[in-house]
Amino acid sequence: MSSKVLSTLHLAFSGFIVGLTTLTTYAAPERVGDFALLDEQGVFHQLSRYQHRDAVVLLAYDNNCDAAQDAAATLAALQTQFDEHIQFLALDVNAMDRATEQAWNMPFPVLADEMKLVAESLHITQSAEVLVFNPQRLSLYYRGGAGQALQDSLDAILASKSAAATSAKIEGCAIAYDSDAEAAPDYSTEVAPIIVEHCAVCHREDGAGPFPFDSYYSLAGWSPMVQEVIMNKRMPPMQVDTSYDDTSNAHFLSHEKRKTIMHWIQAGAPRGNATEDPLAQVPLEKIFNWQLGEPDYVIDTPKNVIPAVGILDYIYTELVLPFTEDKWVSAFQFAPGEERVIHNLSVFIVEPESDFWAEERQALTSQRRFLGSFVPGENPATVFPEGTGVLIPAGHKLALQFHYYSHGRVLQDITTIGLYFHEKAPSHEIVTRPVSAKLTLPAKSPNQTVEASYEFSESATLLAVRPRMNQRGKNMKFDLTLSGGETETLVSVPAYNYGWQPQYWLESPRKIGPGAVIDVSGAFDNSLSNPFNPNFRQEVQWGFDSGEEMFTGYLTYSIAR
Amino acid sequence: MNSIARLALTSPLSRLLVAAFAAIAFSSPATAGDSTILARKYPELQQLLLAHDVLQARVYEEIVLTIELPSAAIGQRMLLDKLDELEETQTSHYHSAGNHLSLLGPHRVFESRVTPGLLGVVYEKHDADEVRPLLAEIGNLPPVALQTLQRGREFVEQLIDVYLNPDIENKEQAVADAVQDYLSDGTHSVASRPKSDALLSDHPYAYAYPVAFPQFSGLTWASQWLKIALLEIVVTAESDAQLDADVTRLISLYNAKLIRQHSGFVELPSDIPTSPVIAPTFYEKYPDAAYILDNLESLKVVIGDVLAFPDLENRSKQIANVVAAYTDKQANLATDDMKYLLFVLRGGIYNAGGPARGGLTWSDRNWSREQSENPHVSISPQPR
Repeated sequence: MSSKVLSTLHLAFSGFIVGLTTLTTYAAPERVGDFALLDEQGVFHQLSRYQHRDAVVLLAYDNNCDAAQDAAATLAALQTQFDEHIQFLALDVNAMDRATEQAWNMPFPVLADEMKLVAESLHITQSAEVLVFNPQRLSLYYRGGAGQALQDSLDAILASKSAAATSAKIEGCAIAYDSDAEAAPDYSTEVAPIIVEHCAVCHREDGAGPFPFDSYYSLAGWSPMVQEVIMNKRMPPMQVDTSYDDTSNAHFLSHEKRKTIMHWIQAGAPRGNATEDPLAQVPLEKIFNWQLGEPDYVIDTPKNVIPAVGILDYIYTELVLPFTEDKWVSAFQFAPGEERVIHNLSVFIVEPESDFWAEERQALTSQRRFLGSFVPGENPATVFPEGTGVLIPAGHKLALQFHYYSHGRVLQDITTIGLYFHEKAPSHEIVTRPVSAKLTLPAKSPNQTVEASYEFSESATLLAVRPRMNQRGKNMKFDLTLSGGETETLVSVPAYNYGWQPQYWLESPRKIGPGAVIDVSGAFDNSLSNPFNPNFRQEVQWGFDSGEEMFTGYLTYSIAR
Repeated sequence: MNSIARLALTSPLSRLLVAAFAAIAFSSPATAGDSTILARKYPELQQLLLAHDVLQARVYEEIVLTIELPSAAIGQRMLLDKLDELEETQTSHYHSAGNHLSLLGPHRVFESRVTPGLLGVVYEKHDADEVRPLLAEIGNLPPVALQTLQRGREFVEQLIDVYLNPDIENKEQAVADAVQDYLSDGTHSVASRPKSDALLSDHPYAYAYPVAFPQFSGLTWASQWLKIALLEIVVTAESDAQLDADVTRLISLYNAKLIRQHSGFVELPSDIPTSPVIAPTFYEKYPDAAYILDNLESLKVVIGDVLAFPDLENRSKQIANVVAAYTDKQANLATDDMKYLLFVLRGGIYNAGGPARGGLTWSDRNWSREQSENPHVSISPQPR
């Protein structure tokens, strides 16, 4: 705050005396919605996650527009001057492919605005237009060209965060929007089917979602929220960078579907003429029938009572199994007792005398027998690839880690796990290896990078990866380098969300030999900019509890027996 | 002044005029700037108290900006529905709104956008002289409201100063003098007797602020809790060492209220903090000062109600009327102290932020949100 308000008031009083030149000083700030996009390197940028910056400068960029190129050059110079306090970004309004954007070699991140939804929502009319945002208030400081007025605006912002919103003339290249020419999407035939397919699995009565989409009215009522979470990519959960998309269970809306929903909401969420309401046809209850038939063995986990309110930490439970001979699991399914409160359930197979979680806290990497995890919204059934299975040696037990949310009412959960066994031992065993790094996160640090890696000493087939961090987790990426030196990114989760920690199964399992290396890289945001951060003023240490932080990439792979 | 205030809500020029007037009106020397005993002795606490004023100003502004958004129309309708529900419950006390304080208010999208920035405000460095004119800068409030709130702030600062100043030996007399001095400007001082709960809970726009903006109201109430709790510990501390320890603990309790979990606040107060609930010793020892404090907070809430209520004409005039009701020393008084005590205690001590001393980490209410069938709530913590 220092010196800002007073200087503004002095400015105001001067304005009162000298005339209308400072009239904009007390104009209400123009609000903008939050938005998030990936840049040309696959890095996630969200406006509201720049709380630690004084301002965010966004240039609407079209590489075919001379004015936009000139503006980019101006911004490059300004960036050197303001880099310490202000974030500079370009918005590729044509959403070219990533290689093209990389070839531009811009001095600041280039955000790919698929379907021009962000440009449209910000009412950008021309490339070369520059917007300056107040990330703390999600409002506009400046809209105009990249001329002296922009420089003046940035100077004013640094001098006083309460700087007035200003605008200046823009001379760029016009941007055409589809919505100008197209009718509003139809609710029944275009919008509702998307919601049924992508949202209603959780957003139903007593589902994991906090409110149901069970009618037109419920969707229309929540439409500001829907718009917000689609624009900032918070929903659907479990999104990955689709440039490396090789997973069957990541969730995301296609660009076309996002556009359909956005344009429908922007048109006022019209009901349309159809009398049928597809959302009202979705069954109210989701029943966790055994998808794979009656299991060979059913495990009832202990009853956990979840209080109505409060912050809940992990519950660790061990279950003795009755098997006197080895069992090979070919498939399994969770049947949650109370899906509304389960945040995550992980199930490991451990030796009878082991103190599994104590060992897990100490080891940076170790080979484990991991059955799987339940995450709301995910398919509760898993079938392992043919010829593979997870071994439950005779006498071994299960180590379970439950994490629950409170839900406003006292609820009790008894989750059931159905196991399906191979008749004969398969040729390959599936194992899981956590690859971890220990860490300390300084308070207020927005981008603390962490890396860990594992070099395989034997041949294996990589099947799945799973990023695991707590509330300050920001992103995680899995890169594979084969012994010959070829490198590829397997899965990148650019906006990690503690609420969703699925195992990402690879569409094409990778056969790897000794010497292959998996690099797990990621970052934490222990600043105010991270909305999930409980306390940005606290240094955080390594640990498993949710108040601590962990950095673990789980690798699931099969090895020959 | 009223005509200027009305204009203030309609044009930038008028906002400018109001701000300029306010800058002049409040140019008197600060009674509690950066050179106060509080600032010297407990700088972190002083910063948090300054942040209270910034927070209140920002919250009012965010409310106005939010409800002016076309896309907030749905939230406005949801708010009216919720207020109708409250009306239908036939409950006559303010705290019944607490059943609905899920922190998922009808404007949640807009509220959640700016709450990280508000948290930033709490922990930013503030300059006392700059905080003073903030409400005026925003330009939403008529001058009579600005001056009443400003006078109230100075009164609280004076109370703290009395107790921190070792040169003032007769604290009781100094507090009595401060009360008399405060009341000497009848137009800009609230009553030193408890106001009827109807002023808070039975006006046409009642509950609009906490129901529409539960995160905002929770944040400002947490901050008000800190102010009241500080008075309790300065009044009851038996040594400097104890006071030092109490201040450290107080700041820690306050910080805990602002901790987020799963992107939401889980420990913010859901009810208005008042002196008898938070600071019983202070209340018992200085009832007049305590009632002033409580009436001031109640006034802030009702101003928030007026700002948050949908489609209200001439908010500035309505706010001026509210101020007039609270500054009237005769009308709308609670019939007796016990009735006032019952009123403020009815919402629950924990929900108001908990007592300054002793601690309370568990709701003392015998009902819960479980019974309210409001599933998306996480207000109070589990037992520790």
